[in-house]
Amino acid sequence: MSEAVTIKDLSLRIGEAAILDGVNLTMRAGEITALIGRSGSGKSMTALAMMGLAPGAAEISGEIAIEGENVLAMRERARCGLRGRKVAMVFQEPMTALNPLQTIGAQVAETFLAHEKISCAEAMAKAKAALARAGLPPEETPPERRPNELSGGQRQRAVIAIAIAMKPKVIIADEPTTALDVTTQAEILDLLKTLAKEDGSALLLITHDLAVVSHVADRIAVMKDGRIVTDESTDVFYSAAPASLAKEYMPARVRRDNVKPASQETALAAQNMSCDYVNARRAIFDKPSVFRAVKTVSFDIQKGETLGLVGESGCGKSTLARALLGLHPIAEGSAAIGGERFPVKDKAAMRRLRRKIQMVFQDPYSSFNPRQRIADILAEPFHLFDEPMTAPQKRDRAAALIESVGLSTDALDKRPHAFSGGQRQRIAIARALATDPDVIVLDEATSALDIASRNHILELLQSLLSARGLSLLFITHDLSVIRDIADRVMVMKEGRILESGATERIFEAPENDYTRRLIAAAPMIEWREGAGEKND
Amino acid sequence: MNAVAASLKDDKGLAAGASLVALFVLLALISFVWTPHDVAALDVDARLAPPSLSHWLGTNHLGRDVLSMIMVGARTSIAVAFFAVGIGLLIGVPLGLLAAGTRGIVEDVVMRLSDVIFAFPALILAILITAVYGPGAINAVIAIGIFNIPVFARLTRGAALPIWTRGYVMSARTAGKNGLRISLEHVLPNILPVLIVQATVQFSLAVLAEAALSYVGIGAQPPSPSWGRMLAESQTMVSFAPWLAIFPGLAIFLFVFGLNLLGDGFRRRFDPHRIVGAM
Repeated sequence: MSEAVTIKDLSLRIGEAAILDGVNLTMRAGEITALIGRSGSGKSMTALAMMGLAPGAAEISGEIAIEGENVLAMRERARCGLRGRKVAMVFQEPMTALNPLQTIGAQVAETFLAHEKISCAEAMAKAKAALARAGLPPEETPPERRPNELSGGQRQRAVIAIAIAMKPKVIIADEPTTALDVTTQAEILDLLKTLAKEDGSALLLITHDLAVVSHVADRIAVMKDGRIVTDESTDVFYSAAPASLAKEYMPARVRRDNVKPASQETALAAQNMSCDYVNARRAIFDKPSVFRAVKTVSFDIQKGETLGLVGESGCGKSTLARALLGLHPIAEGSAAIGGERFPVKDKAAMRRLRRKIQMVFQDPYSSFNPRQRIADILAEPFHLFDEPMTAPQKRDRAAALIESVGLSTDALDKRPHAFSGGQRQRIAIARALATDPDVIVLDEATSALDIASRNHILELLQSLLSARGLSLLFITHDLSVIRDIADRVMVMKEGRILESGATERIFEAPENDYTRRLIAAAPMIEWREGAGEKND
Repeated sequence: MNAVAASLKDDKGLAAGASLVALFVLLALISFVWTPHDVAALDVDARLAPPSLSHWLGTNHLGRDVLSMIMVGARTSIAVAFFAVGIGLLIGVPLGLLAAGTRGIVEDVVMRLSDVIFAFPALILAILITAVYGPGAINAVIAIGIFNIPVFARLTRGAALPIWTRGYVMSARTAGKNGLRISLEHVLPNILPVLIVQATVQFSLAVLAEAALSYVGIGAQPPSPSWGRMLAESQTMVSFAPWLAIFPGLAIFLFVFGLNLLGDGFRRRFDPHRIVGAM
């Protein structure tokens, strides 16, 4: 295989900060290289540098040769000719990568028009062919559609169609599946792989999640602090990966050492619960239409148990969670926490219930008021206590909380922006623990974190569980997380619970077709003897 | 205070705007204790005197000192604009917070009322108020103030809605806080920058509106001087006494210009993309 890209000694600094520090990487035609690294390790900057799109303030040295031509030495005009024709990029968020005002056909045709002297009609015909190759055949998905008329997966296919339009030598995909559902994720990765092999393009897959690329990549390069620390073929990588790498980039196998005591005390129960969503009205005097997001759902969680709730986005799992917390009205049926039924009108009863159930939200960046200090953030739920607390009491309790999640009390006087995503999620857990609740609902609480932080959070949860006798409702679309932490799993689709049962049973013998599809699509690393155990 | 000094140093536009606004505020304050001449005094011997050493900006047809009138007029402009924007803020912001916090029927009522006020021509309302209660600075404040209410109500609601979907508001709700407390503790502090910028812009619009109302004779009444009426009175004399039109016009222009520079400066300063590390 010939060399498509050779990166030699690439260094990049912005002001005082060294972002890349002597990166060496070679990609061959038709080969799929996975570039793994935590956020901030420099992987996206490497990609931007390859496109000649590094920020203007950056000082770059070294060499990036694409088929022998050094991108860094080129003038901007030459680079424009290069982009799209020889190097193409697939972005993380397909919604923002597409222009909402243009049809997808026009957006693909644009690439042809920019690089070839052809008529609009010819470009459109070629665009149709490119879309069909990306899995959007014109008879099913007309190229006249606009991005808002497509699903997330279809949008990403359109972005891929733009990228492969000119059969580029190099395709860079920066976290191409992070914004997608599991089932879609697998399809998109397969598509990228097939197209790269067909066209003989070198494909660079950038991700923080090793599991995602383990089946697709030919080679795996690990980046840390602006350097490539490991660069091996996939086979060699898995058999020889050092323990430290496994810990950082592979989903942890949190060992559930506790076969749960047969506590038959129900912590949380839902009975025939239904929730409605009122859609926005189309005009002032229209009657708003109602959408039933949760359809007669019943389940219960025992004390000390972790229940996993799995489903793709839009299946109603977040609405269900909000309803359990009293943030969304329950249309029919009821729920009960520790035997106390709600919804109830009585305010004192609601306060009591609120104390018993708390939540950790998905996005660690929007879950804190940026203007408050951590001490105030943690103290907020205290007002659910019947007796008002004095300032020093609050402070003591906040200090105890922050220490219980493994942060130091220095954190109390800082504001949220001083913390990383993983640390923020710890603070969110501390806040959820503030009222000493019986149940904590985690809504995709680890989805926004990189693998290393995710592993730490899962470990923390595990230790809190055994220490406090908490029950967890763990909502996620990521089966690999569920498998490690949940005692039982519930699968939800279109507002209904399709299947529920013990985690092992669900994974080994799923009864429902949809469950089977979810499991088949989930990225799981083939654990070799030894490799997976090292991180325990 | 250091942060303020630093941002004034960094941002020349902000510094220029702040200086111009400060200059007029200072003139208005000084006018309480000192003006070059008694503002009400008629110097009959020096009627329509051009700018000179004794009357720096000249005198008008009654012999009143133009500089003194501009200084006292600044008082009127600032006071009317201040209270008019104050009415808008005090009524509009709570209404906007209420609309965003309750949604549903309350929101509909508040927003449709805002639409109605927006649809009503401002000058007609001002004339209506004057016809009923007589002309005067206070009625100008009320007329301009009413039109500031929907501006702030809409802005507040629009800025507050996305805050209501943030995790920290969800979390405050799970902590059992009611809508009022969430609005005050979480929503308001986070939309304050937007409100400050808009208040500055509305202030400059109110200065212009006051000048316009005075120009048509339904603002502050004689003998209390106002920039708009000075312009109106100068109209017939502008060919032989141009200073009567130039200086009040310049005062309006510079003050409004300064306020707009200040507003733009605030906007840059409070840019959400830059605010994160700055707090």
